[in-house]
Amino acid sequence: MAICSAAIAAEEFSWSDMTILKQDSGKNVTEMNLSLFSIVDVFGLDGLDDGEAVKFKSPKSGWKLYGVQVLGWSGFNNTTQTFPADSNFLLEIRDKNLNLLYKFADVQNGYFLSYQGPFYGLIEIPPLTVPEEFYVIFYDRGGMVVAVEEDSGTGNSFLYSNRGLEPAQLITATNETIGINWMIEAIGK
Amino acid sequence: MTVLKQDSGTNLSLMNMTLYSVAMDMDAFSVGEAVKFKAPNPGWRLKQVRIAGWNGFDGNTSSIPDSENFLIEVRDADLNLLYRMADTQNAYFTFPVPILRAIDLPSIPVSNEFYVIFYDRGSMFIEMELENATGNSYFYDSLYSGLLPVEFTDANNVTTQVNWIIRAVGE
Repeated sequence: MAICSAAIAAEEFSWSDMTILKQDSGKNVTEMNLSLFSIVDVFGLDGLDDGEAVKFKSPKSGWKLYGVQVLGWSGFNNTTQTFPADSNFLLEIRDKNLNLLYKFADVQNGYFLSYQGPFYGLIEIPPLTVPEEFYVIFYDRGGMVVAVEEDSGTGNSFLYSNRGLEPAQLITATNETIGINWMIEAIGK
Repeated sequence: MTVLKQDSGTNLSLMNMTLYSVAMDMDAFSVGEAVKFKAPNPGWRLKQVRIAGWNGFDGNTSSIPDSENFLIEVRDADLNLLYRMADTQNAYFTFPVPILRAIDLPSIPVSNEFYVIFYDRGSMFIEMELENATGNSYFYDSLYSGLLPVEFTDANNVTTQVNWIIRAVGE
């Protein structure tokens, strides 16, 4: 069957009146020192329970979170011209005491599929009133990579596991410890 | 519990149906099969959806496909997201024939009109009724947050409107 469809008038949900919260350096993405990271690549199977966490501050009382954007990529094999197999990521929202507020798992290829490299994948969530401070935690589960800004750490990026939060840091060749920023954004109003 | 139907209401065994996957047909991961419902009274809560679908299992273990996710969303009349869940198709739709499968949801208050959207993601097929269209079945494109009518045109230019076999259950 061939599809013959035409758009009809619908009251469109709009993202244009939303605020995007960022905890990276604030530079233009094209000027950032970015690399790609997967927790499982670094910690092996232990990394399946670890997530990239970013602390945010809601701009006002009653502010609602509507979505999370992650600069990531599920990858593409140029030689075989294939995308990777489906694999789930996990998204969590937690309050400042790390109590769970929301949790959602889905397949990475539904959000981060591209021939051309990383892009901001949007994960919509049902409107969630968040407290003044909250954490967005993204578990890549080894099915994809997340972009990380390798300098200009703002102190708001962490590794999250059952051990709690640990600062996300990089140790350079000269043994210098520098903070990094996960490229994760919170969207709401 | 009340079962809301937006198909013809004919007994499923007598319906003129065929299997369909929007992801396979349109190569569109972000498009789902959507049905508009009307809550029968204020304070009504959606507690379950029923989807007629099939993952291709023919009775032989070897025919069980790789585990892949479907996605269900519930949206209000303005398409604001109320609830979403993803899970593997094989846990619900591994039967030798298509089945009307119940999927429990947390109790969701819905008022007036609401939409149940099922993204098959190419992991399975859902049933569509090929006649007696009620005008309540759509495609929903999550990239553009828009609804599209569902019409199929065959080689003879005959247009068919359909009903997705998706039902909403609540009280």
